[in-house]
Amino acid sequence: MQPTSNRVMVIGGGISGISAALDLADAGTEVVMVERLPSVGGRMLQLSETFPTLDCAQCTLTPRTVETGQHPNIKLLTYSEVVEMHGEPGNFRVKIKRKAPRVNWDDCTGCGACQEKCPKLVTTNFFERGVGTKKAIYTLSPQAIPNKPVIDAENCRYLTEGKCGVCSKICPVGAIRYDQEDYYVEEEVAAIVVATGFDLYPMEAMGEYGYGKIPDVIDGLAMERMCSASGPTAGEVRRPSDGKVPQSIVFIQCVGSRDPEHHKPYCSRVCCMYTAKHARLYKHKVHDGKAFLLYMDIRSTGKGYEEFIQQSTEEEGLIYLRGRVSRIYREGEKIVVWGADTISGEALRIDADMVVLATAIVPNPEQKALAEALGIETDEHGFLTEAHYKTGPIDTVSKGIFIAGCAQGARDIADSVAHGSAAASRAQAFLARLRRSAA
Amino acid sequence: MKTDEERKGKVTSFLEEDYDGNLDVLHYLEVLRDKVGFEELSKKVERPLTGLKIAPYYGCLLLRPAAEMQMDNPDDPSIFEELIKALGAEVVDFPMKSECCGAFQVVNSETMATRCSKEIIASASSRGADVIVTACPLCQFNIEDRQKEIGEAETGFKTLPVLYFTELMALALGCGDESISSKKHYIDPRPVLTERGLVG
Amino acid sequence: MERIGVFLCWCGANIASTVDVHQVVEWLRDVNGVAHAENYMYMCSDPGQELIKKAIREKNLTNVVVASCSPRMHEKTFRKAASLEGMNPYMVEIANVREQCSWVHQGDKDAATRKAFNIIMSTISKAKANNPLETIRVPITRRALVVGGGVAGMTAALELAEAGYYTALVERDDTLGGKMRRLSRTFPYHEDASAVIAPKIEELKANDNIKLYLRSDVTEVSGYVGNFQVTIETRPTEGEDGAPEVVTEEVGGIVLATGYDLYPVAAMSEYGGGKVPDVIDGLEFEELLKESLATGAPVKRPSDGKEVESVVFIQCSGSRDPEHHKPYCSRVCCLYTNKQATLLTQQNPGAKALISYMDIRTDCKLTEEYCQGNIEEKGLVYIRGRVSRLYREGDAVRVWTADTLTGEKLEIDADLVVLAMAIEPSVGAEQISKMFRAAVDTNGFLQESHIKLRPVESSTMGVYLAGAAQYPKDITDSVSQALATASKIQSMFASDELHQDPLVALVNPEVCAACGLCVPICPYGAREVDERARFSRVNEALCQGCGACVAICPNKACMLKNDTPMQVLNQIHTFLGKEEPAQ
Repeated sequence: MQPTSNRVMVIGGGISGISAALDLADAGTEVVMVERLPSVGGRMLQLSETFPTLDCAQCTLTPRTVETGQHPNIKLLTYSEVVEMHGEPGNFRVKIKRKAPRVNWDDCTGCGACQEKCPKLVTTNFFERGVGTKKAIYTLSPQAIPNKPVIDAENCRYLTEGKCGVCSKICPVGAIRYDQEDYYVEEEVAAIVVATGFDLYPMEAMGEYGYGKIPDVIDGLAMERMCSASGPTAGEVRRPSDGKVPQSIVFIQCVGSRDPEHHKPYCSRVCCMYTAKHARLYKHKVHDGKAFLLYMDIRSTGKGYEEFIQQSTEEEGLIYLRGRVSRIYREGEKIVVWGADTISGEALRIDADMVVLATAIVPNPEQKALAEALGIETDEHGFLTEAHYKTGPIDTVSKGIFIAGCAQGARDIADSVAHGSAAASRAQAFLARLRRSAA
Repeated sequence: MKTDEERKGKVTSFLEEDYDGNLDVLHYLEVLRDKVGFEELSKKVERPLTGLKIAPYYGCLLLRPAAEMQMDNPDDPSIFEELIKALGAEVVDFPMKSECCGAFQVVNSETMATRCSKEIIASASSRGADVIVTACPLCQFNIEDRQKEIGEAETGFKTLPVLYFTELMALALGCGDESISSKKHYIDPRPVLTERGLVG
Repeated sequence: MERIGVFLCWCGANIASTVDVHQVVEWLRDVNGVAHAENYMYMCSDPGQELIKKAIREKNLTNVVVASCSPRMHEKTFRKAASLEGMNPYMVEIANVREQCSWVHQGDKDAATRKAFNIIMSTISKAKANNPLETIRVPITRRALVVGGGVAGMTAALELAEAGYYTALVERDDTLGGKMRRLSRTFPYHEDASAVIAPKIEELKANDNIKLYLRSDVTEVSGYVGNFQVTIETRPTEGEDGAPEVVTEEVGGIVLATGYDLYPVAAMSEYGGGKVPDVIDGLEFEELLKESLATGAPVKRPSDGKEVESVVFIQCSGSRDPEHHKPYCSRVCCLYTNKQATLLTQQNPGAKALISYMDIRTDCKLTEEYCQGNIEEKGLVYIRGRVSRLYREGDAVRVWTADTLTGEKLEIDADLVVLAMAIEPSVGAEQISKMFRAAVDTNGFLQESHIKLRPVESSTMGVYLAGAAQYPKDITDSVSQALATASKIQSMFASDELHQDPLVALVNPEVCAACGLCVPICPYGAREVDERARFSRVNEALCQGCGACVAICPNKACMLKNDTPMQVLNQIHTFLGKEEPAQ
């Protein structure tokens, strides 16, 4: 069988996908990267600092996104989604929906004038997670790769009310296209790496935590945006409802995880560490603030993680309480957290200013449909299924299709990077086999 | 004193004397091990305690806190065992050898003190000890004295003599039978020592 | 005359909230030789880089200074941007005004602004004296070496061989498979570990691209990325006489997968120090299980062959104990202990399994469900606490512990005690790390070069890390990591030659007295005295530009390219304010 191309498609432009793409491209393989959002970087772009070194996430990430954007062997298709796949291993034809940014990206210079002048502030932007606003024409970050904006059609005044048109007037190169429509392209590739990342279990599904309706009860990614120096609050921790600096925060772990009866039975693997990190970042910003962490087990299993937790309790003054929360409700300005301390056996009540929920890691909602389109398997939770638990963690039941990162199961950045590189290797070995059998 | 300037300052100002703090503080057992040497000691033994089964009782504080005492491994000590061997006796290893005898609790809760001591005595007895030996006068007194109460509460309780380690040394080094006095002990150690042919 | 362009980055608020970026640019515009100065929100962004390129083009710049974050972040980005406009990349310098200025002087804007200016001025003085340099090109030997024949090493070797590269696999033992050979079943599917590893071993033996060195040790390593020479000594088979066979392999990339050992039970004096019978470690219990599973007979204890009716498993034995043993978590013990207890109840129906734990850390895919399921179905008893002591009591091992959830003190008699001992780097790992110049962390595990983004790269280029040698991990993660190392090596082998940074040491042969002091001081073995020419040479491929030779050279014959003593002194003078901002 003659492969149609020596190309590999990487679906997902997060840190796993980027690692896979860069390794492949460095090895001389042509890569087509398909990313759902307008720019690459994935979840890591939303993060503040990373455990256990507390390095700035963007600072470590941007050299990689820049390299991805500039690599001569990588073709970026952002704001795009895979919808169909035909063909066979070595000769996949993949149909991709290119969502309309309503901006002609070929003409756009990325000057940013449209974003600056757009009068519409959107508070519901998925990227800022309710912590801050974005304009109705936006890029995900000032360092976005590619640095091209998209129009949020649901919130754009021109598109919803028929008036405004500021961006179109201000654009120096006339790149705004309100009437642009989605279109489809097809790419031929020999192999595919699926690295579609994760989402968080919605707070709306958690009755015991107020169904996401209590103000100042936020999830982990919202806390990341709040702590991020380049985020909407410039790194200041202020509660969303009234902008006050919280004097006490309750962090609740295993929200929706390890709860087979009501939510997800599995452990989300990263929450113990990022919660400790959140609490420490908060204490660094609000020195006399009180940070309570409610946990079931502390799972700090990676390199330097246990030491990080030890330091958190001994030197940073985090207060760990073993127990599970039964109810959260608002009383005046406070959020009352009810639970039980399973070590003392006593009932627990904390009146806090803010609550951060470490909600379960779940696959992206679109992942199941994608897996079906690609003919690979998912488990009952929607995570991609590997060919062999121990020795085939990257392979799938379909030859030529490989999986990496949180799309397969929750894992931290280091493990996702290793996974991405591993997928690059599997794809290369697959291509090498194809070449050998063709020769 | 050696490592803490602040503490040294406090002590010298209290003493009103300029003490430079460089004296080593040693336990008598350490002197025997490190200065005299157990081998040297064994050469001086005139009346080896052959056949005597001794349970060495360290108590909770002889070795702890380990960083300050720097004497022996608190989880797996050997200093007492080596002494017993040097004197020609047989060591009886027992798991309770570094548990608390409860002496500190006597005033507060006599029941607790009794319970602690009882476990120690029972453990040593069950492993065939003839005597318990201690390096702490309070432990020595407490473990011996508690046996009164235990004996009254439990019929058939087998008492176990408790000796201070210097008594055994005196006996072994040839200071004579009077090294061990019946009167000084609530539980007379002489019968068992006689049985083993060590006194009388 | 130089025409210098200075580009000051705000880094969002990171720099701009502490340094008055507009004032600095104002000052810079008055500086002699500065042809262009501007600031921008994110210089590393596309539009930021475009500004640099545009200025090079339009103002015909000779040098570029980017005042931004640490050069470790974006030096490469900016050098590349400049080279796209035809500027020699080594004419670009980074002035670190974030880590070395704005981050450390928050709240003192005036002083930080002056300091940022001084840092930039000092960098300008260096940039002015820079020379254009060409990257060093090094040919690549497209052959790989893997040290360690456990599951990680085997996976890496097989993958590289599959990709078509000759791979030498060195294994100390006389069999492949590593620790997996001792395992009974794997979690969570209870597959026979030997059955999982056996086909891999066969595949490996049958692969023509793989050269196996069993009973072998690496004894010497020289060379550098792309061109290593590795000496391998093979011992004669047991019972046979004869000298060891010595071979030297020329390879371009190396994977270290030297695995782990268990921290010895003998080191745990609180658990009897290995002297209490029927107190064994996790691997010994795996072997008991393996035998039981093979024969169908129940698990028997080692001391007297009694059928085991009760077992106490003690997790975190030697782990998570910074005062006495290892401070870290050994990551896999929670998982395998649960599996062992489950298999025990299967092989010895009615046997009681009691597990002492601190936290239950079943965080790998499917393992939470697996372990919780076993607890419920097999009636495994978990007790949260730390065992304080254990000893022999009659026929049993008596275990003292406390249940920290009820506050009760417990005394348990068991037929057998299994200690889930801490995982430590394998014997000899230290020597390996020294030979390959791969740094280790405080616990002796091989150190990755960046904890997040370079998890399989060692501190030495061309040397990669896989498996438990880097940190305790399960089979799945070891395999993923091994595949990642194979990917890195394949990327390297894809090109004909390596391009290395030319910022290396340089010797002035006229001044060099061939005293040889630079030879032992060089941590990379890059210096050699040419006895005939009577001066010391630099192996540019090995040199990392650390400057140790520059410091020790009594004649000042050594210097670093684009970091000459004159440049450094000028930088210091300038920084100390010889040129004040024009106010």
